[in-house]
Amino acid sequence: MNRNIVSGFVENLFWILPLIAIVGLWNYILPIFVVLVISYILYIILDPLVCFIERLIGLRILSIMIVLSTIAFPLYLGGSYLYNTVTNNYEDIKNYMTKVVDASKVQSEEIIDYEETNLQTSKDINKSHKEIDINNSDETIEINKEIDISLSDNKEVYKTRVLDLENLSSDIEKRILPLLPDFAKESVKSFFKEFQGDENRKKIANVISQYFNFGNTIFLFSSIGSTVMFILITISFVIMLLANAQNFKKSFIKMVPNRYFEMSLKIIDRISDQISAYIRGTFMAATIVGILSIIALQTVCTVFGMPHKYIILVGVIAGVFNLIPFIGPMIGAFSGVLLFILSVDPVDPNNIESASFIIRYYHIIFIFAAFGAVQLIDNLLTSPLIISDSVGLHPMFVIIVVLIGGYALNILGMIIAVPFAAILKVIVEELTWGFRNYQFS
Amino acid sequence: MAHPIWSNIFKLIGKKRSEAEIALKQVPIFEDLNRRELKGIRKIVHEREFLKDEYVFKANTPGLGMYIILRGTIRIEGEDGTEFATLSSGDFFGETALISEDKRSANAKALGDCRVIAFFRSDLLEIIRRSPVFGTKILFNLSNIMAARLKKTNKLLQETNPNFNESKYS
Repeated sequence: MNRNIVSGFVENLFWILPLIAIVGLWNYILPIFVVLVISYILYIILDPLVCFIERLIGLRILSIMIVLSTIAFPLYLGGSYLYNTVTNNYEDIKNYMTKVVDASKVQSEEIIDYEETNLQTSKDINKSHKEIDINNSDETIEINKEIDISLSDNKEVYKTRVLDLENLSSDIEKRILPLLPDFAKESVKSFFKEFQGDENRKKIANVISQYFNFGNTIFLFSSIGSTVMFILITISFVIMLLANAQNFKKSFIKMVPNRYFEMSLKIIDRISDQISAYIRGTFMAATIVGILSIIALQTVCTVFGMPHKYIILVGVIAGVFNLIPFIGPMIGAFSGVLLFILSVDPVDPNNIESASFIIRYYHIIFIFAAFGAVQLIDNLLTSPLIISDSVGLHPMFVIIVVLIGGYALNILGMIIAVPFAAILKVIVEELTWGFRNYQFS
Repeated sequence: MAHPIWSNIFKLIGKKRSEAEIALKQVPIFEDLNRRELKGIRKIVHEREFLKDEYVFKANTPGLGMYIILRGTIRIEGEDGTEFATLSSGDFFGETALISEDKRSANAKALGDCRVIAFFRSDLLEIIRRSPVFGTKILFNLSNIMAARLKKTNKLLQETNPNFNESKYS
């Protein structure tokens, strides 16, 4: 009996050991894990292309080189163009936000008070230090410097985290001036006033800074080293995967004991089939939605003469957030409207005629209609053709998963939560399928 | 079969083939593959060792693919243990699973310690995806074997049952 337990344990080492290694070294594995995931996704996307060329010329390595070298240049050009546009747009909006925040800072009396008290305390500390030991000045200066730095740090944090919503709302109001009737204007103003208490303001500011904190993502990349290093590692991983992904599977299967051999092979095949179909489908759908959003927005803006500075950024946002079902398309549409409002010049209420462009309510409807059309095309044409139905998740489950992801990793978490959940679902389903169809004895 | 002169030259040029490659070459499915293709197959297949009384596969589990015996003997038996066949090195079994996903109809049990090569449907599909010519060769050989089996079965049926009419069932 004892021997059975021991041998059973030894037999299962093939998955227990890797699991322990992953859990134990998670913090060190995480950056590499990101690289692995990215290279695996690239592998799945590029594999059909490589296979196509391999069918023509017959040599795997050569076809990998051809694919990588042919897509490298356009990918680099397109990628750098996209990257530049998106970062410029993002910087633009960030500058605008900080401008609004700075303006609020000057007006806010509490903050000035806060700064003054800080100054007073630091002066007091200085004085007391000077009184204590005048002779041993080196050390005191050092300490004083530290105190000053920490105090100014505090100030900075307080400054940047306070976001005056009234200010922001009045700024946006200048842009959408004629949009709302008078009574609605009042109610909107009072709605924003609700948030003006010091406590509330801090809370909101915390939430916003949390959600716009891309520190997690940047940390992941920075810990790998430089971007060049990151790209080199990813490319070499992709080449290795494309060249002999079968070998990875084979060497894992080699460790599996005989009685699980067929089952584990079957399960691995089914899981990798479904996951690659899902990833390929989602990636293509996201790209198509992004491109369609840009086209639709551009068309609407040209036809109706609406200025929109951030069309590319909106397209990228719509594409990326399309990974989240139900919520994602809404986020895309709202970001389209919001960035449209921000790209219109503020209107002077006393001199409406001089404004270059005035937002009317139907402009907003046009934008929503454009996004609606994109969603219609996506839901009726592209998605049914591309994405396999095997990874269907219940809407409620999707919302829960997105909330959990957002809680754990903010925006990044929200975006990767659904693919992650879908993959987990496939794995669990296939495992149950395997254990139902194979009996062990 | 290759011309003797050429086969001699290849013997001189080529390195010594591994046990698995020789065994693969004996299987009708792989018999007319060239060296490069055979090498490709060799990279894909799984080599496994089974101890005495271990099951290679069991009846009613999903069929995955075929096995080629390198060493040892394997007994094909029904679920109740009645023997269907005993196979030894060079023989292969389970090749119908390469085509259809049906459940296994019999157990395969190792009579002694044995070493087998496993070649699965997913591997075959991968070959077809990457190089259709190569895949077609294997599929053609596979259907040849099936056709031969069918003929044999028909013949047996006709011998045991004179009223059997082949055209009724095709």
